[in-house]
Amino acid sequence: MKKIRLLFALAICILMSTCTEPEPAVVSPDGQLAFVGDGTGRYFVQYKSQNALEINKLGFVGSDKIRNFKYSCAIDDDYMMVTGKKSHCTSTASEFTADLGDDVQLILRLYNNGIAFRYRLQNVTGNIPQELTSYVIEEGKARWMQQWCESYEGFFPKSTTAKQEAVPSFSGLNLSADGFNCRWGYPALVEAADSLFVLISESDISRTASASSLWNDHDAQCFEVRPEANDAKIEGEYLTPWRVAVIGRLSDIVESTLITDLAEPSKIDDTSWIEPGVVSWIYWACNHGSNDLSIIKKYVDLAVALRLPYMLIDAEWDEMKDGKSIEDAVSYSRSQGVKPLVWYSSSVGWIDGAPGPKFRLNKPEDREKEFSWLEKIGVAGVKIDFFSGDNNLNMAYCIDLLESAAKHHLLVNFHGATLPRGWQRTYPNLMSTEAVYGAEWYNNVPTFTDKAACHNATLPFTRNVVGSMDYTPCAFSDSQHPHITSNAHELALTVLFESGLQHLADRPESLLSQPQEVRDFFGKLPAAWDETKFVSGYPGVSAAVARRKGDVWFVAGINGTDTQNNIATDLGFVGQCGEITAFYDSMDGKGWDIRRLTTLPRDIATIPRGGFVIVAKK
Amino acid sequence: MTKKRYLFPADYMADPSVHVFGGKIYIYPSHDWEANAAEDDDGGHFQMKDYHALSIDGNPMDGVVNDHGVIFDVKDVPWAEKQLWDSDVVEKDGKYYYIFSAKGYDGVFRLGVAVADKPEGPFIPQPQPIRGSFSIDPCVFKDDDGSIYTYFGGLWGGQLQWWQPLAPGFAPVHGKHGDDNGLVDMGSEPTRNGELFAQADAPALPSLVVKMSDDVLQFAEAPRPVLVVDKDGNPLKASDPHRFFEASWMHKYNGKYYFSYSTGDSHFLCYAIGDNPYGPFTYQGVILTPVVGWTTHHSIAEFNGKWYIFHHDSVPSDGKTWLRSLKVCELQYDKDGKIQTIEGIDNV
Repeated sequence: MKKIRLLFALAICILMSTCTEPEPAVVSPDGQLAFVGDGTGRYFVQYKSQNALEINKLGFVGSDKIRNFKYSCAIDDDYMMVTGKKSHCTSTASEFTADLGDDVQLILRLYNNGIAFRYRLQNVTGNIPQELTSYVIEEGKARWMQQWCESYEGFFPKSTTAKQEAVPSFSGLNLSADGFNCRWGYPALVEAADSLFVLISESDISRTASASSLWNDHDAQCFEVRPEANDAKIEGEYLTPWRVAVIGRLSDIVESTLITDLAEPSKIDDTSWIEPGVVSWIYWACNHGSNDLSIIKKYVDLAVALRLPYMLIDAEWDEMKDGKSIEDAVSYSRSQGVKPLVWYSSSVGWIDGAPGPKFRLNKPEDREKEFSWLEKIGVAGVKIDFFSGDNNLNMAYCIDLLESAAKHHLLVNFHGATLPRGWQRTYPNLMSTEAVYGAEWYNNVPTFTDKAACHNATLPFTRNVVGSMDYTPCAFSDSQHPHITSNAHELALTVLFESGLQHLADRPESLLSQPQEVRDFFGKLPAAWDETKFVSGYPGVSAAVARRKGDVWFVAGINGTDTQNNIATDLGFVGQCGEITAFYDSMDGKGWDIRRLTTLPRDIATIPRGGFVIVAKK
Repeated sequence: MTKKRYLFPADYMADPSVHVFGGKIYIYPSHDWEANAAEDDDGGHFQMKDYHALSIDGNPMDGVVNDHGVIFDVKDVPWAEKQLWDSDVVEKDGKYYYIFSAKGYDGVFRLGVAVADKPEGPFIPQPQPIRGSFSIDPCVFKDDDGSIYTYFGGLWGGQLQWWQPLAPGFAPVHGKHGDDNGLVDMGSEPTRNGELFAQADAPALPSLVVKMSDDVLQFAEAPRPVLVVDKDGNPLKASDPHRFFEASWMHKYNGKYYFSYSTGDSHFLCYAIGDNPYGPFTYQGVILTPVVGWTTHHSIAEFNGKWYIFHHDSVPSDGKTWLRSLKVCELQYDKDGKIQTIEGIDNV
C-alpha cells in the first residue's frame, strides 16, 4: 500500500512541477478529493468530481496570487489518542506548496476525507498581515452554523440562507449592513449537494496564534476567515493554524479525526496516568453545593454506588461552609476510592460577581504553587472556567495551564472556553472542553426545554466532531427548567456525546432510583473509545452512533423530532455478539423498556424525543 | 515664579500622593521605568511594576528625601498582571491602607488594597481586587468624622468610559463584567477612547466617589458620580477643556471640600469646591498649567501650616512622557480660599 502511494505521489510530482495553477491531478491519496483552480483565483474542492467547497480567496493582502504550485510530499501519520472517538488514528494526505508572495507560502493538504491549508509567513515584524481566506456558501444550501460567541454556547439551527437574525449574546452582536448576524463560530456544517457534507473548522493553535471565526459582513455568501486579536510579538516566521474542511458523507464527518490529525503530536511523554472516566457532578442539581461538605459527600457516595472513577467539586469550594475545607472534601473522596476534580476561575473572563476561587492560576509562580499543592493533596484534575474567547492571550494561557497541569499529573477540562482545535492530541491531559450549549442551560433559561432534542441530534454532526465535548449529559429529573427528552434519549447522550471526562448531570436521588441495569450501565460506560462508527441520521432529525471500547460496542441513537421516528441500525460491522442489552423507552414514554436481545435490531422505533442504547458484548 | 523642587532625582517617579503621618511627610508615587513599550492612547507605555514609599525629613522644600524601597511588587498581587498605576494611602486605627490601581489578566483595570502596620510598609496586598471596583487613580480621603472615601476614575486607557450605568430595561448581564452596582462594562468598542462622550454637548463623564467599609477593604456602597458644575449649576461638558479626565484628589480647606483633578488631553490641573465629600463641586479654575510631558497628576497637603502641591513633569527625561520626576512647590490661597494658579513650565 505504501509503495503504491509513493508511486502515485511521484506521478503528481512530475505533473505539477511546472504548473502555476493547480489542476485536477491535485488529489487526495485515494483520488476522491481534488483541488481545482478556475484560473481567476477561485478554487474548488471536489468530492468524486462534484463541487463540495469553493474557496474564493487565499492568502493575505498583497500576497494572494498562487505561484510555483507544486507537490511537496506524502503525509502518512499514525498516532495514539488517550481521549476521543478513536484510540489508534491513522491518516494519509498529499501535501502541496505554493508561493503567494515573496514572504508567504501556502501549504495545502488533501486528505481522503477533507482538506487543510495553512500559511507560512516569513519576515514578520510584530503584526500579522490581514488574511484573505474566504469560503463560499451559496444561498439556498442547507447549513448548520452557530452565531459566534466567546464560549461557543449556541445552537446550530438548520437554515438555507446566511440571512439569519442575531440572537442576544453575552459577547455582543456582529451585524451585517442589512442587520443580520455576520460572525459565525466553527464548526460550520454545510450540505453542499445531496448527501455531500462539508464541515469547516480549524486546527493547531500555537502559543503565538489566535483562533479565527467566519465573517460574512461583506458578502452574505462569502465567509471570511478572521483571526481574533493577537498581541503576541512575532518576529520572523509565523505559521497560521490549519484552515480545515472535513468533506464527504455524514459518516466521513462524524468519524473524522482530521482535527487531531493536523495538530502537533503529543508533547507529554508519559501519558499512563491519564485516565478518561465518568464523573459525578454537583453543580447541575445543587448550583451552590460545592461549598457544602455534606453535599460533596453525597456525590462521592453516588460515585461509589455507580462505580464512577471521578467526582467534581465545582465553584465556591474556597468558601466551604461550617469551617470545613477543600482538604476535608478531597480526603473524604480519596478515602472512598473516588478521584476528586476541582474547579477554578481562569480569572481572564468573568470576574466581578463571579464565583471563586479566582486569581490562583494567572501568575506562573502562583499556578505552580497551586498545582503542586493539588497534586500533593491528591486531586486528579482541574476544571477551569470563564475564559474570554479566541484571542492570543487566551490561547497562550490555555497552553500554559495544560503544560503546568501535566507537570503535576492533573487532568484539565476547559469550561467557558473556546472550541477545541486539536490540543487533545498535543496535550493528552486535556480531557474535554465545554464550548457547547449543554445541559447546564436547563438551569439558566427556559429556552432549552423545547430545543434540546433537535440540538442534541445536531451536535454529533457539528460540535462533537472536532473534539471532546463537556455537554454534561443525562438528566432523568429536572433542574430549574424541565427537560422533555425521554429517559433513553438522556441515557443515549452519554454514548452519543464523546467527552474524556463525562459529567453526569443528574442528582443522586434520581440516578440511584433508576433500574439496576441503568445503574450498572454507568459503571461500565467508557469515556474514551477505540473506534466510532456512524450508524444513521441527519442533523437535527436523528443521530445514531456506535462506539467500541475493547470488545464491547455501545450503540446510541436519539430522535430529535416531536414525532415517532424509526432509526435505522445497520450494525453489520459489529459481528456476532454474546450478550446484548437494549435500553428503550416504554412506548408510553413514562419509563424504561430494558431487554436482553439475542440479535441486533435492524431498526428501532423511537418515541418523540426518544432514544435508545444497545450494549453489545462480543 | 513659584520656587519648585525636584524631590527625588535618583529615579523616575510620578503621581505623588502625599500625607503627613506622625508629623512626617510620606510620598506614595508611581514608579516609572524604561520598559520599551509602544506608546499608545491607552497608556500602554506606562508599565509600572512596583511601588516605593518615600518620606521627607522636615520641610518639603529642603528636607532630606528617604526612599524606603519597594513596598510591594506586581508579583505579590495575584489578580494584577501589570500597570501598577496611581495609588494612595489612608491611616485608620494604626493601620495603613494602600489603595492602588492595576490591570488584571482580563485586561480590566481595578482597584486593590494592601495593608501595613507602618506608613513605609511593607504592605501586604489582598489576594482579590475591591469588589465592584474598576478604572484607575484612587484617592483616599479621611474626613474629620473618620469616614473614609475613595475617589477614582480615569478616561481612555483608564477605562472609565467602559463602565456606564445600565440603560433602563437592561438587566445586569451574567458573565460579562457586570457588577452589583448597576454598572456594566460596555466592552472594548465603540466606547473606547472616550468616543462615546466626545459629543460636545454631552455632560463630561464624571469621576466617582465611594465610602469605604469599616475595614477599608471594600466599598461600603455603590460608587456615586462626582459632579463638577459651573457657576449656574450645570455639569461641565465633554468638550470643556477643564472637564475631569483622571487624577482625582480631595483635600479640605477652611471646612470646604476641594476636589482637584487632571484634565488629561488638555493637560491642566483644575479644582472645584463643595460642601460635602459627595459634591456637587463648583468649578473654580486652574491650579497648574500644563507641564512638560503628557500627564499631569498631583496631591495637595498641609505641613507645618503651609500648603504644598506635589506633582511631576518630564523635564529631567527630556520630555519622555513615561519617565516622570517628582516635584513640589508651595500652594497659595487668597482670602476667599481660591487657589492661585501656578505655571507648569518654569523659566518662561
